[in-house]
Amino acid sequence: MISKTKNGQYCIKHEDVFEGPITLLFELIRGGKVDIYEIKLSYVINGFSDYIKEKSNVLLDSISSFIYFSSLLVEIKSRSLFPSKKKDEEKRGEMDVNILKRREEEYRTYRKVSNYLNSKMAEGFLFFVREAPMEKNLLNILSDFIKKFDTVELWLIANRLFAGSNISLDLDGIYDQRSSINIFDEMARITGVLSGMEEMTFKELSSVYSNVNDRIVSFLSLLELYKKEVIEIVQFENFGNIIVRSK
Amino acid sequence: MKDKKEIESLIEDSVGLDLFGPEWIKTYIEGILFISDEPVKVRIISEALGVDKKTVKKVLDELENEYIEQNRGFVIKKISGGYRFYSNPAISEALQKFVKTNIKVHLSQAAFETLAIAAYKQPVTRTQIAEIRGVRTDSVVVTLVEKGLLKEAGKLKELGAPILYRTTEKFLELMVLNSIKDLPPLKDFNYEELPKED
Repeated sequence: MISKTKNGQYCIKHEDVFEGPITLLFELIRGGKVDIYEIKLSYVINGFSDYIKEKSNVLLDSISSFIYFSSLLVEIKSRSLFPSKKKDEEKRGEMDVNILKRREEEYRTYRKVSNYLNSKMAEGFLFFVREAPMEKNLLNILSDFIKKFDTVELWLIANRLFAGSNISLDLDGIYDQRSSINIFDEMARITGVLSGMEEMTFKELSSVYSNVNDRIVSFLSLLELYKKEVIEIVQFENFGNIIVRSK
Repeated sequence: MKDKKEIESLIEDSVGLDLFGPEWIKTYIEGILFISDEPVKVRIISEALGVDKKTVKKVLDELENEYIEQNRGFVIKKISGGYRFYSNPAISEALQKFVKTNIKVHLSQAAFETLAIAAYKQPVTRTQIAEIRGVRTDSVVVTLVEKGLLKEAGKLKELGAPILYRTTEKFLELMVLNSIKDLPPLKDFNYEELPKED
Protein backbone atom coordinates (compact mmCIF):
# COMPACT_ATOMS: atom_id res chain seq x y z
CA MET A 1 0.00 0.00 0.00
CA ILE A 2 1.05 3.56 -0.52
CA SER A 3 0.46 6.34 1.93
CA LYS A 4 1.59 9.96 2.14
CA THR A 5 3.71 10.90 5.11
CA LYS A 6 3.51 14.15 7.05
CA ASN A 7 6.44 15.64 5.16
CA GLY A 8 4.70 14.97 1.88
CA GLN A 9 6.70 11.91 0.83
CA TYR A 10 5.13 8.71 -0.34
CA CYS A 11 5.73 5.63 1.75
CA ILE A 12 5.41 2.08 0.44
CA LYS A 13 4.58 -0.95 2.55
CA HIS A 14 6.18 -3.82 0.71
CA GLU A 15 4.35 -6.56 2.58
CA ASP A 16 1.32 -5.85 0.43
CA VAL A 17 2.97 -4.38 -2.58
CA PHE A 18 5.01 -7.37 -3.68
CA GLU A 19 2.27 -9.94 -3.59
CA GLY A 20 2.14 -9.76 -7.36
CA PRO A 21 4.85 -8.82 -9.80
CA ILE A 22 3.14 -5.88 -11.42
CA THR A 23 1.38 -4.63 -8.31
CA LEU A 24 4.04 -2.17 -7.24
CA LEU A 25 3.73 0.04 -10.27
CA PHE A 26 0.00 -0.26 -10.32
CA GLU A 27 -0.25 0.65 -6.69
CA LEU A 28 1.65 3.79 -7.56
CA ILE A 29 -0.72 4.94 -10.23
CA ARG A 30 -3.83 3.37 -8.74
CA GLY A 31 -6.94 5.24 -9.59
CA GLY A 32 -4.93 8.32 -10.43
CA LYS A 33 -4.63 9.05 -6.72
CA VAL A 34 -0.87 9.18 -7.01
CA ASP A 35 0.88 11.02 -9.77
CA ILE A 36 3.60 8.78 -11.03
CA TYR A 37 5.88 11.77 -11.59
CA GLU A 38 5.78 12.61 -7.89
CA ILE A 39 7.21 9.32 -6.71
CA LYS A 40 10.79 9.45 -5.49
CA LEU A 41 12.44 6.42 -7.01
CA SER A 42 15.03 6.29 -4.24
CA TYR A 43 12.20 5.57 -1.77
CA VAL A 44 10.96 2.72 -3.91
CA ILE A 45 14.44 1.22 -4.26
CA ASN A 46 15.34 1.66 -0.59
CA GLY A 47 12.00 0.23 0.48
CA PHE A 48 12.51 -2.85 -1.62
CA SER A 49 16.09 -3.29 -0.36
CA ASP A 50 14.76 -3.24 3.21
CA TYR A 51 12.11 -5.76 2.22
CA ILE A 52 14.72 -8.15 0.80
CA LYS A 53 16.86 -7.79 3.93
CA GLU A 54 13.89 -8.59 6.17
CA LYS A 55 12.73 -11.60 4.19
CA SER A 56 15.05 -14.57 3.92
CA ASN A 57 13.06 -16.24 1.12
CA VAL A 58 12.33 -13.81 -1.68
CA LEU A 59 11.35 -15.39 -4.95
CA LEU A 60 13.61 -14.65 -7.87
CA ASP A 61 10.47 -13.83 -9.85
CA SER A 62 9.62 -11.03 -7.40
CA ILE A 63 13.08 -9.52 -7.66
CA SER A 64 13.24 -9.71 -11.44
CA SER A 65 9.78 -8.22 -11.79
CA PHE A 66 10.71 -5.44 -9.40
CA ILE A 67 13.75 -4.61 -11.53
CA TYR A 68 11.67 -4.75 -14.69
CA PHE A 69 9.01 -2.40 -13.40
CA SER A 70 11.46 -0.12 -11.71
CA SER A 71 13.12 0.29 -15.08
CA LEU A 72 9.74 1.25 -16.54
CA LEU A 73 9.38 3.82 -13.79
CA VAL A 74 12.85 5.17 -14.52
CA GLU A 75 12.02 5.47 -18.19
CA ILE A 76 8.77 7.31 -17.58
CA LYS A 77 10.28 9.55 -14.98
CA SER A 78 13.42 10.36 -16.93
CA ARG A 79 11.22 11.44 -19.80
CA SER A 80 9.43 13.80 -17.47
CA LEU A 81 12.71 15.39 -16.37
CA PHE A 82 13.40 16.76 -19.81
CA PRO A 83 11.55 19.99 -20.53
CA SER A 84 8.98 19.51 -23.22
CA LYS A 85 7.17 22.22 -25.09
CA LYS A 86 5.57 19.98 -27.62
CA LYS A 87 2.05 18.92 -26.89
CA ASP A 88 2.45 15.53 -28.53
CA GLU A 89 5.26 14.64 -26.13
CA GLU A 90 3.05 15.55 -23.20
CA LYS A 91 0.35 13.43 -24.71
CA ARG A 92 2.84 10.60 -25.00
CA GLY A 93 3.51 10.82 -21.28
CA GLU A 94 -0.21 10.57 -20.61
CA MET A 95 -0.40 7.65 -22.98
CA ASP A 96 2.32 5.79 -21.07
CA VAL A 97 0.37 6.14 -17.87
CA ASN A 98 -2.84 5.09 -19.60
CA ILE A 99 -1.14 2.02 -21.02
CA LEU A 100 0.15 1.15 -17.57
CA LYS A 101 -3.30 1.68 -16.08
CA ARG A 102 -4.75 -0.54 -18.75
CA ARG A 103 -2.14 -3.20 -18.00
CA GLU A 104 -2.93 -2.99 -14.34
CA GLU A 105 -6.60 -3.51 -15.05
CA GLU A 106 -5.83 -6.47 -17.31
CA TYR A 107 -3.45 -8.05 -14.81
CA ARG A 108 -5.89 -7.59 -11.93
CA THR A 109 -8.60 -9.24 -14.05
CA TYR A 110 -6.45 -12.29 -14.69
CA ARG A 111 -5.61 -12.43 -10.99
CA LYS A 112 -9.35 -12.69 -10.37
CA VAL A 113 -9.64 -15.36 -13.07
CA SER A 114 -6.78 -17.28 -11.47
CA ASN A 115 -8.62 -17.17 -8.14
CA TYR A 116 -11.72 -18.42 -9.93
CA LEU A 117 -9.74 -21.31 -11.46
CA ASN A 118 -8.34 -22.09 -8.03
CA SER A 119 -11.86 -22.40 -6.64
CA LYS A 120 -12.94 -24.50 -9.65
CA MET A 121 -10.07 -26.88 -9.01
CA ALA A 122 -11.04 -27.13 -5.34
CA GLU A 123 -14.58 -27.95 -6.50
CA GLY A 124 -13.12 -30.76 -8.58
CA PHE A 125 -11.56 -32.32 -5.48
CA LEU A 126 -15.08 -33.12 -4.25
CA PHE A 127 -15.55 -35.55 -7.13
CA PHE A 128 -13.78 -38.89 -7.05
CA VAL A 129 -13.44 -41.33 -9.90
CA ARG A 130 -12.91 -45.05 -9.85
CA GLU A 131 -9.34 -45.86 -8.96
CA ALA A 132 -7.15 -46.21 -12.02
CA PRO A 133 -4.56 -48.99 -12.06
CA MET A 134 -1.38 -48.23 -10.17
CA GLU A 135 0.64 -48.09 -13.37
CA LYS A 136 -1.41 -45.16 -14.64
CA ASN A 137 -1.03 -43.25 -11.40
CA LEU A 138 2.68 -43.85 -11.52
CA LEU A 139 2.88 -42.61 -15.09
CA ASN A 140 1.08 -39.43 -14.08
CA ILE A 141 3.66 -38.60 -11.46
CA LEU A 142 6.68 -40.11 -13.14
CA SER A 143 8.00 -36.96 -14.77
CA ASP A 144 8.23 -35.16 -11.44
CA PHE A 145 9.63 -38.23 -9.70
CA ILE A 146 12.46 -38.81 -12.11
CA LYS A 147 13.78 -35.32 -11.57
CA LYS A 148 13.92 -35.70 -7.83
CA PHE A 149 15.21 -39.23 -7.32
CA ASP A 150 18.15 -41.27 -8.48
CA THR A 151 17.83 -44.90 -9.53
CA VAL A 152 18.54 -46.29 -6.06
CA GLU A 153 15.80 -44.10 -4.55
CA LEU A 154 13.39 -45.15 -7.31
CA TRP A 155 14.20 -48.79 -6.52
CA LEU A 156 13.45 -48.16 -2.83
CA ILE A 157 10.14 -46.49 -3.77
CA ALA A 158 9.23 -49.43 -6.00
CA ASN A 159 10.00 -51.84 -3.16
CA ARG A 160 7.72 -49.90 -0.82
CA LEU A 161 4.95 -49.82 -3.43
CA PHE A 162 5.13 -53.57 -3.84
CA ALA A 163 5.56 -54.21 -0.12
CA GLY A 164 1.90 -55.16 0.31
CA SER A 165 1.89 -57.62 -2.58
CA ASN A 166 3.57 -60.99 -2.96
CA ILE A 167 6.07 -59.63 -5.41
CA SER A 168 9.60 -59.79 -4.15
CA LEU A 169 12.17 -57.46 -5.62
CA ASP A 170 15.44 -58.58 -4.13
CA LEU A 171 17.89 -56.82 -6.35
CA ASP A 172 20.75 -56.71 -3.85
CA GLY A 173 24.01 -57.65 -5.42
CA ILE A 174 22.47 -58.36 -8.81
CA TYR A 175 25.52 -57.09 -10.63
CA ASP A 176 28.06 -58.56 -8.23
CA GLN A 177 28.24 -62.02 -9.76
CA ARG A 178 28.84 -63.13 -13.31
CA SER A 179 26.77 -65.89 -14.87
CA SER A 180 28.39 -69.32 -14.94
CA ILE A 181 26.34 -70.57 -17.91
CA ASN A 182 25.90 -69.55 -21.53
CA ILE A 183 22.76 -69.33 -23.63
CA PHE A 184 23.62 -72.21 -25.99
CA ASP A 185 24.29 -74.68 -23.16
CA GLU A 186 21.15 -73.52 -21.36
CA MET A 187 19.01 -73.94 -24.51
CA ALA A 188 20.28 -77.52 -24.79
CA ARG A 189 19.58 -78.17 -21.10
CA ILE A 190 16.01 -76.80 -21.27
CA THR A 191 15.26 -78.81 -24.42
CA GLY A 192 16.54 -81.94 -22.67
CA VAL A 193 14.51 -81.34 -19.50
CA LEU A 194 11.33 -80.65 -21.46
CA SER A 195 11.69 -83.74 -23.64
CA GLY A 196 10.51 -85.97 -20.84
CA MET A 197 7.83 -83.60 -19.53
CA GLU A 198 4.52 -82.34 -20.82
CA GLU A 199 5.08 -78.87 -19.44
CA MET A 200 7.13 -77.05 -16.79
CA THR A 201 7.10 -73.63 -15.26
CA PHE A 202 10.06 -71.32 -15.70
CA LYS A 203 10.38 -71.28 -11.91
CA GLU A 204 10.91 -75.05 -11.94
CA LEU A 205 13.25 -74.88 -14.92
CA SER A 206 15.45 -72.26 -13.32
CA SER A 207 15.29 -73.63 -9.77
CA VAL A 208 18.70 -75.25 -10.28
CA TYR A 209 20.29 -71.79 -10.25
CA SER A 210 20.78 -69.66 -7.16
CA ASN A 211 22.63 -66.89 -9.02
CA VAL A 212 20.23 -64.23 -10.37
CA ASN A 213 22.35 -63.75 -13.48
CA ASP A 214 22.13 -67.48 -14.26
CA ARG A 215 18.34 -67.18 -14.09
CA ILE A 216 18.48 -64.23 -16.46
CA VAL A 217 20.55 -66.27 -18.94
CA SER A 218 18.07 -69.11 -18.50
CA PHE A 219 15.20 -66.77 -19.32
CA LEU A 220 17.01 -65.41 -22.38
CA SER A 221 17.55 -69.00 -23.52
CA LEU A 222 13.83 -69.57 -23.12
CA LEU A 223 13.08 -66.58 -25.34
CA GLU A 224 15.57 -67.83 -27.92
CA LEU A 225 13.90 -71.26 -27.98
CA TYR A 226 10.51 -69.57 -28.39
CA LYS A 227 11.86 -67.53 -31.27
CA LYS A 228 13.10 -70.73 -32.91
CA GLU A 229 9.61 -72.20 -32.38
CA VAL A 230 11.01 -75.06 -30.30
CA ILE A 231 8.78 -74.30 -27.33
CA GLU A 232 5.46 -72.63 -26.44
CA ILE A 233 5.15 -70.12 -23.62
CA VAL A 234 1.93 -69.36 -21.75
CA GLN A 235 1.32 -66.89 -18.94
CA PHE A 236 -2.22 -66.39 -17.67
CA GLU A 237 -1.72 -63.28 -15.55
CA ASN A 238 0.77 -60.53 -14.86
CA PHE A 239 3.61 -61.82 -12.68
CA GLY A 240 2.01 -65.26 -12.86
CA ASN A 241 3.81 -68.52 -13.59
CA ILE A 242 5.42 -68.81 -17.01
CA ILE A 243 4.42 -72.22 -18.39
CA VAL A 244 6.77 -73.77 -20.94
CA ARG A 245 5.82 -76.61 -23.32
CA SER A 246 7.70 -78.43 -26.06
CA LYS A 247 6.23 -78.02 -29.53
CA MET B 1 -14.56 -65.01 -32.27
CA LYS B 2 -18.29 -64.37 -32.69
CA ASP B 3 -19.27 -61.32 -34.65
CA LYS B 4 -21.77 -58.71 -33.43
CA LYS B 5 -24.76 -60.24 -35.24
CA GLU B 6 -24.10 -63.67 -33.78
CA ILE B 7 -23.93 -62.20 -30.28
CA GLU B 8 -27.12 -60.23 -30.90
CA SER B 9 -29.02 -63.31 -32.02
CA LEU B 10 -27.65 -65.36 -29.11
CA ILE B 11 -28.90 -62.81 -26.60
CA GLU B 12 -32.22 -62.45 -28.39
CA ASP B 13 -32.67 -66.23 -28.32
CA SER B 14 -31.75 -66.55 -24.66
CA VAL B 15 -33.56 -63.63 -23.12
CA GLY B 16 -35.99 -62.68 -25.84
CA LEU B 17 -35.08 -59.02 -25.78
CA ASP B 18 -34.31 -56.67 -28.61
CA LEU B 19 -30.62 -55.97 -28.11
CA PHE B 20 -30.92 -52.40 -29.25
CA GLY B 21 -34.20 -51.56 -27.63
CA PRO B 22 -34.23 -48.37 -25.54
CA GLU B 23 -33.60 -50.22 -22.26
CA TRP B 24 -30.57 -52.04 -23.63
CA ILE B 25 -28.99 -48.83 -24.93
CA LYS B 26 -29.12 -47.40 -21.45
CA THR B 27 -27.53 -50.59 -20.06
CA TYR B 28 -24.78 -50.51 -22.66
CA ILE B 29 -23.98 -46.87 -22.01
CA GLU B 30 -23.90 -47.43 -18.27
CA GLY B 31 -21.49 -50.31 -18.83
CA ILE B 32 -19.24 -48.26 -21.09
CA LEU B 33 -19.06 -45.41 -18.60
CA PHE B 34 -18.48 -47.85 -15.75
CA ILE B 35 -15.34 -49.35 -17.27
CA SER B 36 -13.90 -46.09 -18.62
CA ASP B 37 -11.22 -44.28 -16.69
CA GLU B 38 -11.54 -41.08 -18.71
CA PRO B 39 -14.43 -39.03 -20.13
CA VAL B 40 -16.10 -40.85 -23.05
CA LYS B 41 -17.28 -38.78 -25.97
CA VAL B 42 -20.79 -39.21 -27.42
CA ARG B 43 -19.25 -39.95 -30.83
CA ILE B 44 -17.26 -42.89 -29.42
CA ILE B 45 -20.37 -44.42 -27.79
CA SER B 46 -22.39 -43.79 -30.93
CA GLU B 47 -19.83 -45.57 -33.11
CA ALA B 48 -19.40 -48.46 -30.67
CA LEU B 49 -23.12 -49.18 -30.42
CA GLY B 50 -24.16 -48.14 -33.90
CA VAL B 51 -26.70 -45.75 -32.41
CA ASP B 52 -27.08 -42.17 -33.59
CA LYS B 53 -25.46 -39.46 -31.48
CA LYS B 54 -28.78 -37.77 -30.71
CA THR B 55 -30.10 -40.93 -29.05
CA VAL B 56 -26.88 -41.44 -27.10
CA LYS B 57 -27.01 -37.85 -25.85
CA LYS B 58 -30.68 -38.28 -24.87
CA VAL B 59 -29.94 -41.46 -22.90
CA LEU B 60 -26.97 -39.85 -21.19
CA ASP B 61 -29.13 -36.90 -20.13
CA GLU B 62 -31.75 -39.35 -18.81
CA LEU B 63 -29.14 -41.25 -16.83
CA GLU B 64 -27.70 -38.00 -15.48
CA ASN B 65 -31.13 -36.92 -14.22
CA GLU B 66 -32.00 -40.37 -12.88
CA TYR B 67 -28.92 -40.51 -10.69
CA ILE B 68 -29.58 -37.05 -9.30
CA GLU B 69 -33.28 -37.76 -8.66
CA GLN B 70 -32.50 -41.08 -6.98
CA ASN B 71 -29.76 -39.46 -4.90
CA ARG B 72 -27.30 -42.14 -5.95
CA GLY B 73 -23.73 -42.40 -4.71
CA PHE B 74 -22.46 -41.53 -8.14
CA VAL B 75 -23.31 -38.99 -10.80
CA ILE B 76 -22.56 -38.52 -14.47
CA LYS B 77 -20.75 -35.35 -15.35
CA LYS B 78 -19.99 -33.87 -18.72
CA ILE B 79 -16.30 -33.08 -18.55
CA SER B 80 -13.83 -32.16 -21.23
CA GLY B 81 -16.25 -32.97 -24.04
CA GLY B 82 -17.13 -36.42 -22.69
CA TYR B 83 -19.14 -38.15 -19.99
CA ARG B 84 -17.75 -39.86 -16.91
CA PHE B 85 -18.91 -41.40 -13.64
CA TYR B 86 -17.98 -39.40 -10.57
CA SER B 87 -18.85 -39.94 -6.94
CA ASN B 88 -21.64 -37.76 -5.58
CA PRO B 89 -19.91 -34.60 -4.27
CA ALA B 90 -22.34 -34.51 -1.34
CA ILE B 91 -20.58 -37.50 0.22
CA SER B 92 -17.02 -36.49 -0.63
CA GLU B 93 -15.97 -36.11 3.01
CA ALA B 94 -16.86 -39.71 3.85
CA LEU B 95 -15.38 -41.04 0.61
CA GLN B 96 -12.08 -39.32 1.29
CA LYS B 97 -11.28 -42.13 3.75
CA PHE B 98 -11.68 -44.75 1.02
CA VAL B 99 -9.57 -43.07 -1.61
CA LYS B 100 -6.36 -45.05 -1.91
CA THR B 101 -4.40 -42.80 -4.19
CA ASN B 102 -5.27 -39.18 -4.02
CA ILE B 103 -2.74 -37.47 -6.23
CA LYS B 104 -3.82 -33.86 -6.30
CA VAL B 105 -2.25 -31.33 -8.58
CA HIS B 106 -0.64 -28.49 -6.70
CA LEU B 107 -0.34 -25.27 -8.62
CA SER B 108 1.38 -22.05 -7.65
CA GLN B 109 -0.22 -18.63 -7.97
CA ALA B 110 2.03 -18.02 -10.99
CA ALA B 111 0.75 -21.22 -12.58
CA PHE B 112 -2.88 -20.23 -12.01
CA GLU B 113 -2.27 -16.79 -13.52
CA THR B 114 -0.56 -18.35 -16.54
CA LEU B 115 -3.42 -20.80 -17.02
CA ALA B 116 -5.96 -17.99 -16.66
CA ILE B 117 -4.30 -15.96 -19.42
CA ALA B 118 -3.84 -19.01 -21.65
CA ALA B 119 -7.46 -20.08 -21.16
CA TYR B 120 -8.86 -16.77 -22.36
CA LYS B 121 -6.27 -15.72 -24.90
CA GLN B 122 -5.38 -19.04 -26.50
CA PRO B 123 -3.47 -19.72 -28.62
CA VAL B 124 -0.93 -17.58 -26.80
CA THR B 125 2.85 -17.21 -26.74
CA ARG B 126 5.02 -17.10 -23.65
CA THR B 127 5.84 -13.44 -24.39
CA GLN B 128 2.15 -12.53 -24.51
CA ILE B 129 1.64 -14.16 -21.11
CA ALA B 130 4.73 -12.40 -19.75
CA GLU B 131 3.48 -9.02 -20.97
CA ILE B 132 0.35 -9.35 -18.87
CA ARG B 133 1.97 -10.89 -15.81
CA GLY B 134 5.00 -8.61 -15.96
CA VAL B 135 7.48 -11.42 -15.42
CA ARG B 136 9.07 -14.08 -17.56
CA THR B 137 6.95 -17.21 -17.57
CA ASP B 138 9.23 -19.70 -19.31
CA SER B 139 9.66 -22.04 -16.36
CA VAL B 140 5.97 -21.86 -15.41
CA VAL B 141 4.91 -22.74 -18.96
CA VAL B 142 7.38 -25.64 -19.10
CA THR B 143 5.99 -26.99 -15.82
CA LEU B 144 2.41 -26.66 -17.03
CA VAL B 145 3.28 -28.48 -20.26
CA GLU B 146 4.92 -31.24 -18.18
CA LYS B 147 1.82 -31.50 -16.04
CA GLY B 148 -0.26 -31.83 -19.22
CA LEU B 149 -2.27 -28.67 -18.59
CA LEU B 150 -0.82 -26.71 -21.53
CA LYS B 151 0.20 -28.01 -24.93
CA GLU B 152 1.97 -26.60 -27.95
CA ALA B 153 -0.36 -25.42 -30.70
CA GLY B 154 1.82 -24.41 -33.63
CA LYS B 155 3.93 -21.31 -34.09
CA LEU B 156 3.05 -17.66 -34.53
CA LYS B 157 3.76 -16.42 -38.04
CA GLU B 158 6.04 -13.56 -37.09
CA LEU B 159 9.73 -12.95 -36.50
CA GLY B 160 11.22 -15.71 -34.39
CA ALA B 161 8.14 -17.91 -34.87
CA PRO B 162 7.37 -18.22 -31.14
CA ILE B 163 5.54 -21.32 -29.97
CA LEU B 164 1.81 -20.96 -29.32
CA TYR B 165 0.19 -22.70 -26.36
CA ARG B 166 -3.32 -23.95 -25.64
CA THR B 167 -4.97 -25.45 -22.60
CA THR B 168 -5.54 -29.22 -22.71
CA GLU B 169 -8.40 -31.61 -22.02
CA LYS B 170 -6.68 -32.42 -18.73
CA PHE B 171 -7.01 -28.74 -17.82
CA LEU B 172 -10.77 -28.99 -18.43
CA GLU B 173 -10.97 -32.15 -16.31
CA LEU B 174 -9.03 -30.50 -13.49
CA MET B 175 -11.27 -27.43 -13.55
CA VAL B 176 -14.45 -29.56 -13.86
CA LEU B 177 -15.30 -27.88 -17.17
CA ASN B 178 -16.90 -29.44 -20.20
CA SER B 179 -15.53 -26.89 -22.64
CA ILE B 180 -13.39 -23.77 -22.55
CA LYS B 181 -16.57 -21.94 -23.58
CA ASP B 182 -18.00 -22.75 -20.14
CA LEU B 183 -15.63 -20.26 -18.55
CA PRO B 184 -17.46 -17.08 -17.55
CA PRO B 185 -16.89 -14.12 -19.91
CA LEU B 186 -14.15 -11.71 -18.88
CA LYS B 187 -16.72 -8.97 -18.33
CA ASP B 188 -17.92 -10.99 -15.33
CA PHE B 189 -14.57 -10.10 -13.80
CA ASN B 190 -15.23 -6.40 -14.50
CA TYR B 191 -13.06 -6.32 -17.58
CA GLU B 192 -13.78 -5.22 -21.12
CA GLU B 193 -11.42 -6.28 -23.89
CA LEU B 194 -10.31 -3.39 -26.10
CA PRO B 195 -10.73 -3.85 -29.83
CA LYS B 196 -7.50 -5.11 -31.35
CA GLU B 197 -5.24 -2.44 -32.84
CA ASP B 198 -4.22 -2.76 -36.48
